[in-house]
Amino acid sequence: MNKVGVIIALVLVLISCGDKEESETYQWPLPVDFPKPQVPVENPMSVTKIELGRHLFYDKNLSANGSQSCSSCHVQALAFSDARKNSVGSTGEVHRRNSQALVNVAFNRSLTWANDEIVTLERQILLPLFSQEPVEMGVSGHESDILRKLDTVNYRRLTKEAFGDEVLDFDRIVKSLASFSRSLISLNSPFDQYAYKMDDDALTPSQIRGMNLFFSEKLECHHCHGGFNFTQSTTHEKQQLDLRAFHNTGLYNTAGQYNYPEQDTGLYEVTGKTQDIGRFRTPTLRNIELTAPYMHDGSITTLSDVLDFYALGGRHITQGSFKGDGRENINKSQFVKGFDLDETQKQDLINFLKALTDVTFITNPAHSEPLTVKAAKQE
Amino acid sequence: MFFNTVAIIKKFVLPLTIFSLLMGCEKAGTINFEPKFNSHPALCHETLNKHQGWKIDQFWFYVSDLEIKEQDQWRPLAMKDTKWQHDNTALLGMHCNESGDNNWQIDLSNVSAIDGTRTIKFKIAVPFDKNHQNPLKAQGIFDNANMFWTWQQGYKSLRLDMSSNNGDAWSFHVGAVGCNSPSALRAPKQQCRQPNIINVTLNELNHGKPLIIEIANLMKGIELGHQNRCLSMPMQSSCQLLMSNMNSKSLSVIFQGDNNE
Repeated sequence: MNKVGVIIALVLVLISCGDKEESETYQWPLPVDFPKPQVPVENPMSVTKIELGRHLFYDKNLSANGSQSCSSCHVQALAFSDARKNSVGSTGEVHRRNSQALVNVAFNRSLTWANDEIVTLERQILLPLFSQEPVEMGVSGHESDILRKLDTVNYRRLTKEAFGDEVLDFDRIVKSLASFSRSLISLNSPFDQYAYKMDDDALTPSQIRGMNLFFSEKLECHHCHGGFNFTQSTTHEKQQLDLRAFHNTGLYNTAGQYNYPEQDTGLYEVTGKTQDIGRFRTPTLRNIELTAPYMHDGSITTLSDVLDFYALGGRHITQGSFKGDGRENINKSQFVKGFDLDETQKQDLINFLKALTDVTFITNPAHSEPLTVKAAKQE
Repeated sequence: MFFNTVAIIKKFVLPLTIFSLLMGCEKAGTINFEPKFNSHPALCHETLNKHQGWKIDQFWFYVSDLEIKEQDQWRPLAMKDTKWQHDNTALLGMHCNESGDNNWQIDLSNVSAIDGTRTIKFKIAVPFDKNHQNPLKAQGIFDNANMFWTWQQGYKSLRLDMSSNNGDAWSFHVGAVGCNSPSALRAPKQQCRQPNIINVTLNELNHGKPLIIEIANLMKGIELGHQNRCLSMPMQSSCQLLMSNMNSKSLSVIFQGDNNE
């Protein structure tokens, strides 16, 4: 019988080698030819999980003091960013960084501004929920209170639909929020109509001139903001290379040990490598018109100012505690070398960046606050 | 009955399978490359010989139109479709980031054509019909934002990026220029005015020996630094010199190495 067992085992091995994993049934809202994002096997996408995640995303009961939801710092009309320079947590603590837009985050190679080890949304979401320095949602130590507040008829129904039973815990909360965040796909801007749907009239002549500048070697924007998601920090089912796109753009060059503001030295905090000081993940430029202020610390106010910053090849701060010439920062990317633009060219470039705004994304009801959550707030 | 089945498998099927697998391996055939700098292996994270403080960040190039000379006739050498090869074009190179992605080998579909000593040639280029395709439809080695410029310009057929520990950087990006189309996001219908294809011919190649790519010869006469980089701007003197080096008959950038190297 041992021999029989061996043969059966061999046959099973051969069969299992030949079969692929059952493909997921979730239909990604992607245009033709776009690659699918990669999703952790332990948290496959489903419509019901996204729906539970959407309710949780907009629910202030997810914060310990009931004052904030995820949507407080990730506003749909602003492409799920906020308008503040620095985000403010539920207890009023000011975050050192600017709130990131949630645009095509399913395609991000890594999450947050500067951490190459956080590569899943499931892990990323733990930060705003549980972090204590600074407090954001303030969940730590208040888990049971929050779960009690979320123990409603509506959530029991949504949880059962998503997970098969009514028990909501933080593992399921995180998985649902991750699924909802992954569903935030924005690929329907005028640029997409022009580039991928071959509609020659989708962009104005000014936007086409700006696009040609954007993709020129003169400006070199696309070296870091390349690919369909306008960031090299992209991964998907067909991705071959792992580019780990983190860059120092010459924002600072202060005195002191790091030549960078000590409250945030970027990727260096994770890797400990000096060449990573001041390196931050390249964000997507999709919907960039809506996500001001800019940079990891929100220190540049407008798109016009951002272009001036890159035209100068970095920022020279002449006074104050961050005094120093960022253009000379030793870790600055070689692609931030400065360029000349006349006023018309600059306006063309801004007009092109505005062509990356996807109106259907910021008005899509599937991403909006559920009526049940809205109604509960008004009670 | 089961015993008989096992005996048959042991006696005939397994040896036959192993034999055919081995034969398959022999038939696969490879052309191997070795990046060097002043005759020393060009490795990631190591300072380049005679260029204090400089190191390679990434070095990639596409190889296409691989052909072998037989009885004074050129015949195409087919490549396998692999992670690093698609439609008879290969992507060779290395990325010196944490991913450590690298490939220095071309896998041929059939090695029997290149046994002994032969003359081969290839291009460092992306074929025109692949060079300006919709990046979303690009497959395998062509689905690569790192190497893609735009639909209009196509791919970088070669990119070499270096940086120094004092913050300076140098790049050499080769690709087509003078491409005529309505915008950066529209493909040209005809070959670009200056496709910048690099032709490589290797006489009397012994397929058992690696091909050396001598980076020091590639950048001979160039003082490393951002002011001397070349991003395929035809009027830049650095570009003219680098392309001249790449195509030089006397200055060997790619040549056959010794077994001992």
